[in-house]
Amino acid sequence: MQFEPSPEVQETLQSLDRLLERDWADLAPAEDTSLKQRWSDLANLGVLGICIPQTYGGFGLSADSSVHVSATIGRRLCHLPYISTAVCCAAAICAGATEQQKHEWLPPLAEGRHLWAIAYLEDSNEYDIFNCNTRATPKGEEWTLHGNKILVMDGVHADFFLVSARTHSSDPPDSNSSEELALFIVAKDTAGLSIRNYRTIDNRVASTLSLDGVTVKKLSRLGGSNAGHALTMALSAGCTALAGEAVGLMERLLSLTTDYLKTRKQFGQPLGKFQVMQHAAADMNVALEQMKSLSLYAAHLQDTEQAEQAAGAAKIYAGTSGRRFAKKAIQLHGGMGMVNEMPAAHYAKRLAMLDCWLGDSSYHLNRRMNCQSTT
Amino acid sequence: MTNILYTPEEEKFAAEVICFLEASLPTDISTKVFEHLRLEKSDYMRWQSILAKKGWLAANWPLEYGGQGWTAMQTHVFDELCAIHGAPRLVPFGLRMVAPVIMRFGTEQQKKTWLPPIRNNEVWWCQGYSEPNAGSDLASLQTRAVNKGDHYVVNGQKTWTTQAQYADMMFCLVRTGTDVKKQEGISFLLIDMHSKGVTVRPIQTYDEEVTVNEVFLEDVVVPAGNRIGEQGEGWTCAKFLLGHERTVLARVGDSKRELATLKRTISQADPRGSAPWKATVSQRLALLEIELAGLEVTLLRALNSKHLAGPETSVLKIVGTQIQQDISELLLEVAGARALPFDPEWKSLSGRQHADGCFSAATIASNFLDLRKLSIFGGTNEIQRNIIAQRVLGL
Repeated sequence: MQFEPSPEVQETLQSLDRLLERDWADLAPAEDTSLKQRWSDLANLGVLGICIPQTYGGFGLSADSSVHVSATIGRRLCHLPYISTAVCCAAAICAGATEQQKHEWLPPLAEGRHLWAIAYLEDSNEYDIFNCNTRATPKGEEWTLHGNKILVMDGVHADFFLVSARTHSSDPPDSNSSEELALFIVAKDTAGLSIRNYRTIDNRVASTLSLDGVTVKKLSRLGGSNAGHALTMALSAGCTALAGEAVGLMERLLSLTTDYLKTRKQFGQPLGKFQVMQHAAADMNVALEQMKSLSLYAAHLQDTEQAEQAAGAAKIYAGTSGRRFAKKAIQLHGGMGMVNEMPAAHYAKRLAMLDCWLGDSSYHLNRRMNCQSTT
Repeated sequence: MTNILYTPEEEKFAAEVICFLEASLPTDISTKVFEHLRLEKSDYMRWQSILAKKGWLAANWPLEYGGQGWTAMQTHVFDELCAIHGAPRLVPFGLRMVAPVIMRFGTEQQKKTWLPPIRNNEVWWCQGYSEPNAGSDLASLQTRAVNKGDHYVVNGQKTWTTQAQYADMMFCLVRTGTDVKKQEGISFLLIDMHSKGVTVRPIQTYDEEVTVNEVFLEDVVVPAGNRIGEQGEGWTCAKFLLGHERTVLARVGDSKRELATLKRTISQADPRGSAPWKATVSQRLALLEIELAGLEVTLLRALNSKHLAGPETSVLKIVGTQIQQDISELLLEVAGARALPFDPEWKSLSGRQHADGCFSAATIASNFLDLRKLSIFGGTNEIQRNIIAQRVLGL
C-alpha cells in the first residue's frame, strides 16, 4: 500500500500547488471563459492524465496519486473541474469504452483539450444510477435521447457530457436491471441539448441538461452493455477523489482554525490556551488523520472487487465527519467563522456540502448494507 | 488472502502465523477470549510458554537479545492475527514495556540479568506508575526512594497496578530528588515484588473482577543495580515507554474479532431481528467498520513511518479505544435484556455451562463495563487530546 506520494508525484504536486497559488486562486465560481486557456497548464504538469494508462496518453499511476492531486486542489479551495473530467469521466471511459473509443477520447482529455462532465443525476433518482428515466431510442445508425439531468458537476465547462440513459422503452422501467443502462457521449453544441447553469452554495457551478430529441451517432454509445459497471467505477473513482479533496479542505481549515485560536484573545489569553478549545481542535486532527487514511484505503482498493465499498466508506466518512469538522471549525471561530470574507468560512461551506455530491452518506450506507446482506 | 492491505511478504508471514495459531492455540483458552470469560494466570502462562518454545514470545526483540528481529509491521501482523484467533493478549509489562527500556537505557549487566527471564516467560512483571495523587499528572508522584549508596530505601504507594497479584517484579517510577523540576527528580527502579515491605491489596472493580491493585511500599530495600538509567532520568524512560504503548493500544485485531462477534450476534438475534431493528444496528455496525478501516490504515501509516513514537500516535489511542468501546456498547444493545442476568461464576468455563440458554449473554455487560478502562489507562483520552493540541497543533 502506498502511504506517501512517490518523489516524482511529490514534485508534480508541488508544481501544481505553485500553479494553483499563482493562477487559480482568483477563479470566479461562475462561468469563467479563461479557464480553458489555463487548463492546458494542468495538462502540461501531467495532472490530467495521471491515472490514465500510458497507452492512451496518460501516466498510468495508481489511484492514490489522484487522491493527492485532489487534496492539493482542496487545500487551495480551487473550483477546478478536475474530478468531473480527469477522474469520473476518465474512469468511465477507461472502464466502459471500446479500444477505439479510448484511443479517440482519452488522449485529448489528458492533454487538456477536452473538458468532460458526467450527467447521471435525475430529479427523483436519489443518486441511484439505475433509476434512470432518460430514454435512448435507436434510429438507423443513430440514437435519439430524451430526458433531463440535474446537478451536472462542472457542466458549464464541459465540451462533452457522459449521459446515462435507458436503451429499452419498456414501461414501467425495470429499475433493478443494469443491462439496458447505457452511457452516451454528447457534445455540448448538439442540437436538442439545452444547458442551464447555476451556482451551488459551495461556490461551484452545476448544470441542468434537457435532452429533447438529441441525436448522436451509434459510435457515441460508450462500449457495449456494461455501462452500469462503468458508471459505478466512475462514481467510485469520483468519491475517492472527493475524499482526497476533503483531506485538503480539512488540513487547511484546521490550520486556519489553530491560527485563529493562537491569535484571538479573550479573558486575557489566547483561545487556544483553553482546554475546551484544545480538545475540539484535537478531535479535528483525529478526523483529519482518519480521512487521510480512508482516502488512501479507497485508492488502494480501487482496482479490486471491493472498490465500490471502499470508495463508499471514504465518501461516508468525508460526508459525516466532514460536516462535523466544518461545524466545529465555525464554532471555534465564533462569529468570524460565518463572515463571508473569511477564507475559513468558505472551506467550511465546501466541506459541509461535500456529502451532497456523488451520493450522500445515507445512500452509500444503504448501498453498503445491501451489498453485505446479499453476500 | 488474509488482508488486502498486506504486502506479498507480509501475506506470506501472515500465513505462517495463522498456520501456527491453528495448530498451537489451545481452544479452551481461545473460547475464553471469544466469549469474554475470565483469563487465569495459568492461561496466560500456558499460552506464553507455547510461544516461548516457538521462539515467538519476544520475536519483536532484536536478534542480539534473543528475539527474531521482527519489524514493527511483522509484530503488528502477529498481534493482529493472535487477537483475531482468540489468543490472550501478551502480558505486555515485561515483553513490550520494561524490556525496550532496559535495551535502550540499561547496562550490559542489567540486560544480561533481566532480559532472558522475560524472553523465556519466567518472570511476571507489573507497572508501578500511578499513585493515589498522581494519575494523569504522573510527574507529581510522591513515592520516595532514598539513595543509600549501594541501595535505595523506597516508601510510598502505587495504585491501578494491573496484575500485581501475579507479579514477581515491578518497574517503578520513584522520586529521588525534590529540589529540582518535578520531572527531573524521578528515577526508574526495578522492584522485586517478593521483597520485605511490599504489600499488594486487590481493588475489586464494578464488574466484580480483580485485575488492578494497590501496592504499598514500606522501607523496601532495592539494590542500586536495579536502577535503569541515571538517577533522575526516570521520566525520560517513562516517556520513551509511553510512546511505545500508544501504537499497541490501537488494538485493530481485537476490534476485528469483536466486530465479527457482533455481526454473528446480529444475524442470530431472534426474535428481535425484525427488519427495521436490523437496519438500525447494521448501520451503526457499518459506521464502526469504516472507522476501523481508517484506524488500520492510520496504524499502518505510523508503522511505516520514521517517527513512530511521536505525538501523532495519540490519534491511534483515541480512535482505537473509542472503537473498542463502541463495539462493546453495540453488543450490549443487541443483547438487550438478556445482558442483565449476571453471576461472576459464569465467567469461568465450568460456570458458563450452567449459564447457557437464557443466560448466554451474561458476559456482555461486564465486558462493556470493563472496557471503560480503555479511555482511562495508558494516558486518558483527554491527556491524548492535550498532547495533540499542544505538540501537534502547537496550541
